[in-house]
Amino acid sequence: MQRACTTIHDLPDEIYLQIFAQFTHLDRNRDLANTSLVSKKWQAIAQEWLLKVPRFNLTNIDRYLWELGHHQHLQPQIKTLEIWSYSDGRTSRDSNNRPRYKYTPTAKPASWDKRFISKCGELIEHYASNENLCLEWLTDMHSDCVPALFGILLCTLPNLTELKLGNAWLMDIPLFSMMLSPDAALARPHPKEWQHSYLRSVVCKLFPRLEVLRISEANMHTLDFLHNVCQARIGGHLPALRRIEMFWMESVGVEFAPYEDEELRDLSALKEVQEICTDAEVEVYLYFPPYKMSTWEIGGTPWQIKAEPIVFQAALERIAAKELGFFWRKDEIQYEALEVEFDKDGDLAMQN
Amino acid sequence: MAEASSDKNMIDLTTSDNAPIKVERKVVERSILIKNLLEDLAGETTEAIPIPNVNEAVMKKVLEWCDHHKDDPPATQDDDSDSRKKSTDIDEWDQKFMQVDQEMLFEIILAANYLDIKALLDVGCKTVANMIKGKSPDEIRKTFNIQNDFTPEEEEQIRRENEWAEDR
Repeated sequence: MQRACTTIHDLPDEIYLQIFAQFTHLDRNRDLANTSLVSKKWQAIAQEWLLKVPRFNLTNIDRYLWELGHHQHLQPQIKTLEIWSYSDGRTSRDSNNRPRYKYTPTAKPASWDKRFISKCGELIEHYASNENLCLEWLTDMHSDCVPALFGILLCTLPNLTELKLGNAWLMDIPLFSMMLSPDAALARPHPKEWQHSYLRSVVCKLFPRLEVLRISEANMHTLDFLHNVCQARIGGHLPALRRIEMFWMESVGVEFAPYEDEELRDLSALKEVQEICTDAEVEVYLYFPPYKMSTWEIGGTPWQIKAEPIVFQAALERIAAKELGFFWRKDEIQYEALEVEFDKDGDLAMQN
Repeated sequence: MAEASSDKNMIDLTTSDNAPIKVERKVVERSILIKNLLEDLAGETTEAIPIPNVNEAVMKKVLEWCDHHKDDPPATQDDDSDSRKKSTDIDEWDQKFMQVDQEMLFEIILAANYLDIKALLDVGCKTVANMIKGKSPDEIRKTFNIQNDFTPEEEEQIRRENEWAEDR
């Protein structure tokens, strides 16, 4: 019996899906984009994967929403959302070396399609919990569009359980802070520009589902945030949250050394983290790089890079070279990377 | 007694091209399809099990993989959300095993899918994924001998659709 030669064309669609699902690496977006240009059959499957496991730059949130709007059947399938964003040059430090944030709203770009604007308006009217919030949300669409779009995005993803965000998010949209106990909110008040009240009802829908939260470019300020999240969990707002990961921007030395306060200098802040998270029964993972490490300098979020040992090593050498100057020598590198993980009972699960 | 049990542990198969294959039960049970079938038969049959979708050459190759992996822990049933962590790393033996021509590669993938051998299907998919990684659309087409069925306008349209995913 003569059989025709088996080729890639003989594979059923579900196997194509399984092949494309293997793309989890750093250049996954690029590879899937290239794959979608191969043929019509490949396009549908590759684009489905791109949209279903979204990873994108904050500045592309409008384009992502537009494309997702054309594939509404995928929305319920999205469980994880990764957005990276630059906080470079946006933070300054006060005399205590604490980061000071400045908020700059982004106005609506002139290039937006009219249909996009009207669809967003419809969604806002649908999801806003009352007229005042609706008005605030619609106004933001024009004058402060990033939180407005982020609110819409969260509303359209009913099954989202993992949020992976750059620290810049916390300063732009302190969405977690608004659920806090009134005490916590009073203790750490946020600037007025940070208040996007309409996001409150959005996150109220997300929080019961949220299981994993990842933050890159974390700094000392993020500890306040962690505090808040854990208090919110103790208060019953984040019942599903089981894991928080923080990838710090600076090394342990830089983050803690300048402090006059002994306590911070001897890393008891880590102990504080451990206690906060134990109280909230959440496991926590912390990574401090040997030198300043940011998503935009290493070419990908730290968690993606860490998953690829060769790329990670190259990234470490690049940031060392930047720190130590052009003529750095390998033996000069002081890898003071610190990696700590506490399980939900507060026991040390890993330390490197 | 030793003989009887060893006999019981050998399974007869007949491939799509009517070739008889004798194989250790533990090895062939890597295939969930055959494992379930054997459990349903509960030792009632002495006849060879027909495998209508897989020919002898491919079946032998698949069984070679099963033999190497016969002591692996059974596949866990966790849904793909958690195993999404997997990268395109393949262990060395599997990499060597997958150094076959494309026809055999796709035959193995189809057989693994049909016989329900999840780990082998995974290795196959990873191998294909690695052949795609880092290539331009044109290089991918050449690799797998695929016709470009897009007009230049359509290509432009897809590029626009993918813009949101650019720069990391």
